[in-house]
Amino acid sequence: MSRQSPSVRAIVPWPFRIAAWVILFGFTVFTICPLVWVLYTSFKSQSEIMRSLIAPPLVWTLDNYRNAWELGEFSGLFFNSFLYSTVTTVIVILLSVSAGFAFAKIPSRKTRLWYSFFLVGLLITISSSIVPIFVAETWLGLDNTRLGILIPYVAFNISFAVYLAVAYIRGIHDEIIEAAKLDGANYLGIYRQIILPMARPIITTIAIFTFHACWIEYVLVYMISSDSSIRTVQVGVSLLNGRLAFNYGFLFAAIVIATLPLFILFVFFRRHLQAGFSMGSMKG
Amino acid sequence: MKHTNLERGSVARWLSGATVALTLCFVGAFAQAETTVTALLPFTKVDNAARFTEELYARFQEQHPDISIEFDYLEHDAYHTKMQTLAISGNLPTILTLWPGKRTGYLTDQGYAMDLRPMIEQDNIAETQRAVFLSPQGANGEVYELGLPLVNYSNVVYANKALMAELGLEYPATLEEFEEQAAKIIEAGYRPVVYGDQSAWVMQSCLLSMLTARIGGLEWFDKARRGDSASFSDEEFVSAIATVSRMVDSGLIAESEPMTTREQAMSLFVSGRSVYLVGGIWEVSNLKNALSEDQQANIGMYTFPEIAGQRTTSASSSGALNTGYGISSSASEAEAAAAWEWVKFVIDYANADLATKYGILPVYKEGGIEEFLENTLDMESYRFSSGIETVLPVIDDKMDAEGVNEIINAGLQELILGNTTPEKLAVAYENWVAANDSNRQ
Amino acid sequence: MLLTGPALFVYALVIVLPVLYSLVLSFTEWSGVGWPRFVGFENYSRMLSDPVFWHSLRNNALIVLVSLIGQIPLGFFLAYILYRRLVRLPAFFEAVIFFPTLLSPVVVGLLFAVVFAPVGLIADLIGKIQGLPLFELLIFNSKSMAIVPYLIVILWMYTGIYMIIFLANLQKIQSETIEAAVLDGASEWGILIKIVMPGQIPVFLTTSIYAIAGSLKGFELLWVMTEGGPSYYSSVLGLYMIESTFSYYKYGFGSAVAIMLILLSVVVIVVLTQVAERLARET
Repeated sequence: MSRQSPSVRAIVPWPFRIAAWVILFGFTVFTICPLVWVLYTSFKSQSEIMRSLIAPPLVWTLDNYRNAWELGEFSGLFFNSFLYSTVTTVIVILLSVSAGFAFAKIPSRKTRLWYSFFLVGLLITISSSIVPIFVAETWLGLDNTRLGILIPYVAFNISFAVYLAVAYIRGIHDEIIEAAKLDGANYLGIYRQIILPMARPIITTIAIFTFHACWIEYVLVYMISSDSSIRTVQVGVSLLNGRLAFNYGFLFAAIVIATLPLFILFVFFRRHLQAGFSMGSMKG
Repeated sequence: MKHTNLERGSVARWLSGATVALTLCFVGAFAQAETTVTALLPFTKVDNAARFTEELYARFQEQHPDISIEFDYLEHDAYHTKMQTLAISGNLPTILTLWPGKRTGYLTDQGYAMDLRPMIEQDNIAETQRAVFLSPQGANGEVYELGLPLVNYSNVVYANKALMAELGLEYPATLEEFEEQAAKIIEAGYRPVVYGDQSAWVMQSCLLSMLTARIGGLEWFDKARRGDSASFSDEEFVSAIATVSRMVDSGLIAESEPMTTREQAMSLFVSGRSVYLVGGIWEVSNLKNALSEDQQANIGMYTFPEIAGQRTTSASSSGALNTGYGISSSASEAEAAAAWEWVKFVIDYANADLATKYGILPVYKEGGIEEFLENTLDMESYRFSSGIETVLPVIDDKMDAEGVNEIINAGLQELILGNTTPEKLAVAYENWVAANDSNRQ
Repeated sequence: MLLTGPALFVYALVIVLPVLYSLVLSFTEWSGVGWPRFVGFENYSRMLSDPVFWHSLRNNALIVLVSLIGQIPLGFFLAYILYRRLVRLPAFFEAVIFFPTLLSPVVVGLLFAVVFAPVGLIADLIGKIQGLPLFELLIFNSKSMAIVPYLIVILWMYTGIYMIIFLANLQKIQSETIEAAVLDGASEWGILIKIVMPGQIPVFLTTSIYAIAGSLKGFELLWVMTEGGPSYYSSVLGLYMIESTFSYYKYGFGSAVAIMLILLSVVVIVVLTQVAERLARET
């Protein structure tokens, strides 16, 4: 795969050029302005925010961060967020790449059916199945445990991961696999020696998406957990968003706290993100 | 939050800087915990009630070292969702937060909460609590919850007195005067009144409920509720809704209300861009967060002006009894006893100073709370509450949630946008109530 | 089977069982206590006669439309601009366009609630420019337009993901092919239509499926941003389902909406795949 763009340019028609600039400018404004707004608002006191939602702070204060950190009890929550996101990511990668290999490269009449069966998961939300999940977990004694959060996390993220993995692995040329078969490798050998190494780009992509999805999820956690020691950062944020009583200062500080790790993740892994989206054909 | 054993205590000490939590963990660590019960609370930690509960619990622990309670906080909507799920799966906490009205009917009507009457009788609670706070909640006179004895008034007109002086306004005595003011205020470049109705319950809870009971009267409302020779398609209810329309026409309700959040309304009011704010008494704590002490002194709290032909006094506001604590019917005897100790502790006059400190202002049979009041806005709030002669029903406290949300709340927003009429709305609601509401069955 | 087995097991437990559970419940009336009462298709017929359902469905259709004719083509267009290096700072723009995808829907909803509010950011700016202190943005007050701000937000938020997908697939085109075409005097437009587009058709299809699935189930962002209001004007099916299930304890009815959502998605995706395959065969 060539990572370089062609260096020779054709003549670009001017309407095309103007459209490009307008769209890019729009996106930039839409992205940067609100983020800057959230950032400086988090340094304003509640009374200043209420006086004007938009004005920059007259007095910069760290009180919101201090209060949000204490009220949201974030220190323990960060550990849980990292734990759930990381463990889920590892399991999802293992399961999805192997499933992806099977769906994409092991010919079987049932493959297409099973694959569609998996894709249905893309349509299911945690909110719509929370009652049956909770009832089932209570029977199994998994409610209010870390395992009771991890298992649904894996299940809810597996569909998209399988979908990505299949699309990517289809793009791996069959000749390589055939060659390995002629050398006497079995499917497990092919999986370990050919698919896993070649699937590295898609593994990174799956990792980023799964980690991100777990990080921002909160409905499942607050439903399953009744003990703050197993809750996550997003639940901490939601606990600062009151109904009758509200404090935007605390809330915005909490939002910055909760979003920062994602931002760092993004800055570090941005370059690896797109490679995994390279897709083979849809026919299966 | 958990304050039970030494291990958790030491971990929490590492992790949390909250002094209150620290104290509690410390107390918890040395207490000989014999009974542990759980409680779920329907508010978040930005709420004063959370800080009040924590401090109250610290005091409780000093007096009852043998009982520990694990409190958990959830945002209001999340609370109800979770309680339903917990009830279905048989996992309710020992201590339930219950509404005296319809809101937690999914628990009380289904037998998930204990009837507290035997305990109330045994401990002679009636001696210290006003009768209204012990009124029956179940079909057979059951009492499911006891809370701090206070009424959450949902219709308060907050006024920016400094801005009123600047514009040469006095608080209006009648709705007509109010409407005349609206024109003047708009001309001067300000908004007359803000509500923050994006969540749709505000217009119903904080305005229509009061209008309905003022115009129709308490007796009519009770009859209409039960469908006893009165109904919601009556002239009374139509006229209450028509008053909302009239307020839209005269500028007392802006067309933007259905998409204005309470936060934005509050922002308009405290930044001096609107003269009045209509909301519940709970806005006092939000105002205290948003205003300096000096500015707080400029806030006046009034009942809604007189409406021509009203059947109830103007010294009235709509209000619902405070939420309280109930006990899960699946609690063991020891757990129930421990939970009851907490319930009694919460409503004890001896702890009135703590509630007052957090702007929660209960009314006791045994004595007033004036002596504990320090904040000017709290004093204003207490003055407002004490001046109420008649408490009017809040519609969503008395009627089933689905009909109120889907028909009245959504309908009022359409009414403000001019997409429906008072008659249509009243008839649609009556039809729903007649077919579905538990009050009519 | 060895490779897919573990994934299938977890998947069946958490995804398939609840769907079956909802399917069964959707034919009953159940408030969460005691045994559900069988009511046949009553929940479905009640849903189909509810104007809120139809308006939500209409809003969902608009969301799918924005994904299919907005996010995906725009994502492709942006990817193409960046791939062909038609602007400076491609890395910066790539980051700016992709970043919103990473934010939590709750954060984005809260943000844009304030931006589009009648007295929010936009109204404030216009009011200041025009010198009208009472200026209010009333786009939400129209029944047909109330969903528009949300459409703008999702167009902004999710286009980045499609851009990244196309970018990855554009990289696979041999750069020599394009260079040769340029030397032959092909215009940028010609390159786009004749060389780049044909290879991307399977990607368009794959992304469409993802887009439809995501568009039909989402509601969190909308809930924080508008609560489905004013009245039900900006409601979507996901929100309709959650409200009926949890606000009024109608688990049977809520399940019927959930099943309807899944059915709708499956139908749309199957139709789309069939049409695309036919098109591919004809060309």
